[in-house]
Amino acid sequence: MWGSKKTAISSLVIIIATMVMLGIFVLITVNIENIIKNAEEVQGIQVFLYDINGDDALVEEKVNSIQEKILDIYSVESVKYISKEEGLRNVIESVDEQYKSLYEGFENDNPIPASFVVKLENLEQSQNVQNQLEKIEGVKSVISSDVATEAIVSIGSTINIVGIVILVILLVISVFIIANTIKITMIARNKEITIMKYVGATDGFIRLPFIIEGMVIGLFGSIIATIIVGLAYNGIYNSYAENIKTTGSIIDNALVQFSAVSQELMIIYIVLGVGIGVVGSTISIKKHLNV
Amino acid sequence: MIEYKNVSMLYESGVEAVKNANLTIEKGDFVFIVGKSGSGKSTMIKMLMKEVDPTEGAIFIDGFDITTMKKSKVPFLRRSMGFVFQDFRLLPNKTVYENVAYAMRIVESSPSKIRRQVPLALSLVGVSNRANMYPDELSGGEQQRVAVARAIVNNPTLLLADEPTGNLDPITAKEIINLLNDINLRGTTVIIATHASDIVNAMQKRVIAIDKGVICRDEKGGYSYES
Ligand SMILES: Nc1ncnc2c1ncn2[C@@H]1O[C@H](COP(=O)(O)OP(=O)(O)OP(=O)(O)O)[C@@H](O)[C@H]1O
Ligand SMILES: [Mg+2]
Repeated sequence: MWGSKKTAISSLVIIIATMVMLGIFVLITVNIENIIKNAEEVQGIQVFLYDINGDDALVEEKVNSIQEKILDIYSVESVKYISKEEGLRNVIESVDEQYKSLYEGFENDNPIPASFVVKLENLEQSQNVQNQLEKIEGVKSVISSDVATEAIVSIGSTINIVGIVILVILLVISVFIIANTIKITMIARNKEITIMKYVGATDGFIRLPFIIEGMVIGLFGSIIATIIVGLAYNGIYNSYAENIKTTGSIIDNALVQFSAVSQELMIIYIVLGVGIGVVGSTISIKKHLNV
Repeated sequence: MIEYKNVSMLYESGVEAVKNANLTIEKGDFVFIVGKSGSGKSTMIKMLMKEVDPTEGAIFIDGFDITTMKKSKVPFLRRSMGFVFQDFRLLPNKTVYENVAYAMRIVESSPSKIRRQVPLALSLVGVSNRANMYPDELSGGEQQRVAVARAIVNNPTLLLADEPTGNLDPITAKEIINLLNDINLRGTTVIIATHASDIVNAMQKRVIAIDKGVICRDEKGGYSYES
């Protein structure tokens, strides 16, 4: 079936390279999303309120109204209210034993403001949500401590752009290398094609084997790429799992297991591989097969 | 019925291979097209099989103008024709049987029909005992017989042969022409382009002579195309 083993192998190699590249890109993206998701679970935006003067009923009414407004903001998943008293307790708990007494005097004149902890559905919306939170009446200040998360988000979008550019270049190269492979096959089978035409083979009948050849190369490429990416990723995953102990930070469980993405990746690979094969061979047929 | 009406063929190279040809070939005819090398014989045949289209005029088959035919219909036109060439054009990696069966597979005949028709065609041309051999294991005459079997296996109404005896010795050549004559006797229209004068003389069939693209003689008889 191969017109020339050498060119078929070179198309296979470039397709595999494209797919491995795509695999790296997909896995990085998936893992970044995973880290962000973990981060979302750990952290939230803190919204501090001005002190509300009045009786408990008034305080409750105002707090509720602010809470409603926060929940109305796009991408806000949940809001948790922390009263002044709770806030103080949290602070006391978080400091070392020796300093605890320093805070005891504050119980009657509590300097800690009431606050909300806001969690987001999508951390990329963080800045937008913060801007809106600041505008709500009664809000004193908004603090987002997730500098690390923001860095990851920005790394993620940079990787997206670089990845897409490299991918598009590799895709174009793959298509043309496949087209070239099919062209060589067609030249090798020129005599047969001529005879087919004389005997009255339809265009589709003549084209089909070449399209199939392109598809088979693409399919082969996807299978090999899945194996390469799967083995490599599992290797990385295992050494990560062994070496990174629980640190209590967002890098725990940062990596997703390959099995979590393998199915999607395989589908992407097959669609892509077959797609590259069909597009490549079609280009070649249009150009060189005068049928 | 085949009709050439004011047909001219000017190749892109500037050579006018056929000049204003007018010609009628009835169903069941046996016709030789003769002429010197480069006179336009092959071009006459190529236009009929739509390998090239005339630059002027029209060619009708059974009243249907094939020069304006859609490209996608050409395969179906060719299925009504069989072709034989000087260089046999067999596939070297297929056996005799497979070469003939291939022509049927391409037109999507059923396997049972292929199993029935191929041996019939092979026996008709007298190469049944070569069915499992490869083309390079056969003599030129045997290869051409296989090519004829392939040309007729789909029961075409028209058989076109361009120099079918060009690579054969005189005796083998005569055998092949006799074979084509047998096929003609079964009702198939046969058109042969050739410059094998002894064969043309021996057959005493209709002869269309062309000289530098111009039809200069069209009558029953021998090869000579003077006058
Ligand atoms: N594809 C082509 N492009 C340009 N010129 C061509 C082409 N085919 C044939 N010709 C020219 O047209 C003329 C007629 O060629 P054709 O092949 O019909 O001659 P012929 O009678 O079959 O010759 P021969 O006996 O050598 O086979 C020649 O001058 C040839 O050079
Ligand atoms: Mg010729």
